[in-house]
Amino acid sequence: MAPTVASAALWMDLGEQTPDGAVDDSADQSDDVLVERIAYGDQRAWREITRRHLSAIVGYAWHMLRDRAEAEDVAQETMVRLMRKAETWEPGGAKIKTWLYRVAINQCIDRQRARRTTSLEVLAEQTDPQTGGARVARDHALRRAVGGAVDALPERQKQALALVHYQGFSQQEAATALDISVEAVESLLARARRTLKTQLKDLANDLLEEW
Amino acid sequence: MDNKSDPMTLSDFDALLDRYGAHSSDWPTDVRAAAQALLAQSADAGAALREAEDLERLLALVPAHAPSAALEARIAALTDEKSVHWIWMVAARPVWRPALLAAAMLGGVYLGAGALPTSVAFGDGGFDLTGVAGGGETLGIVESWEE
Repeated sequence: MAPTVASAALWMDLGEQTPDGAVDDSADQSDDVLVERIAYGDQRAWREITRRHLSAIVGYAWHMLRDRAEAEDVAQETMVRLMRKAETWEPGGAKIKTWLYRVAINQCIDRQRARRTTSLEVLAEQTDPQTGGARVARDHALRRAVGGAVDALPERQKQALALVHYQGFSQQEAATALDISVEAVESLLARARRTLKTQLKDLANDLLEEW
Repeated sequence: MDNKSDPMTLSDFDALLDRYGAHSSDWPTDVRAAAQALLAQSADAGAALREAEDLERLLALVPAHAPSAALEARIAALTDEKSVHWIWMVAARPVWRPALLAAAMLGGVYLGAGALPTSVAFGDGGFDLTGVAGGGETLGIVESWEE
């Protein structure tokens, strides 16, 4: 039996079972139900919603910003806003996942406007200076080239690519998150892939054969 | 490919690869059969598909970052603040105020009774304040009371 919201807050920290013996079933509940419980300070619901979405938000923000600290700041602020939003969240409307990404997307846009990083330098920072060898050097060269090509895409194309390719969004979900039509998402992705294929063609021919 | 019953051209196939990527599961179901038919007879279509697959492999090389333990701890801590906030939010509702006031009064009476010497608390007919810290005598209370 799913706990009611009213009872949820009462067993937030009482162990695996609710006082009436029901097992905590946060993992089986929808995002909407979890957020409703979060509004009452339910820690289990918060942990579950974090487990479901935090990694993906960090991943998306990292793909957009190429800066780990900034990506984590974006993710934290996004979760803080969800916490604040919980009390007024209306189930059955927008999906939590889409809402979270909208918040993250807007923050990434703000941060990108505030600064422009040189992606190749940032990607180079990820290389481990302790490792060596031709294979490692080639891997790093590949990552730098691919990351650089992705970063050079126009912003909207990069957003669509990050959501669909790296976050596993359907095109419909990406369209909702970006507040554009599905056709527009498809068009952004098509242009992004065409550009990347052209830019990375030589790299693919030279290096993927050995991969 | 305006009519879905028409054979797919290489140009159509290229456009669909750009739109939906190299994984056929991401393609609209109503064009998959035509794409499969084209692939079966066109080496160029096969080459286009391999090119799209290479791009997917290249894109997969860009690593993702998992949240740090520090971030997870900060996020987990948010709910502690929320719990405290919720308790105050409930407590602040008008409907609870009389109950809270009554509870506070009862608590005060209980604590006050516990602090008094036993002889004071509801003794045998009279009040003996001499045992109270500070002393009733000092205050002149005992004498005036007896008078």
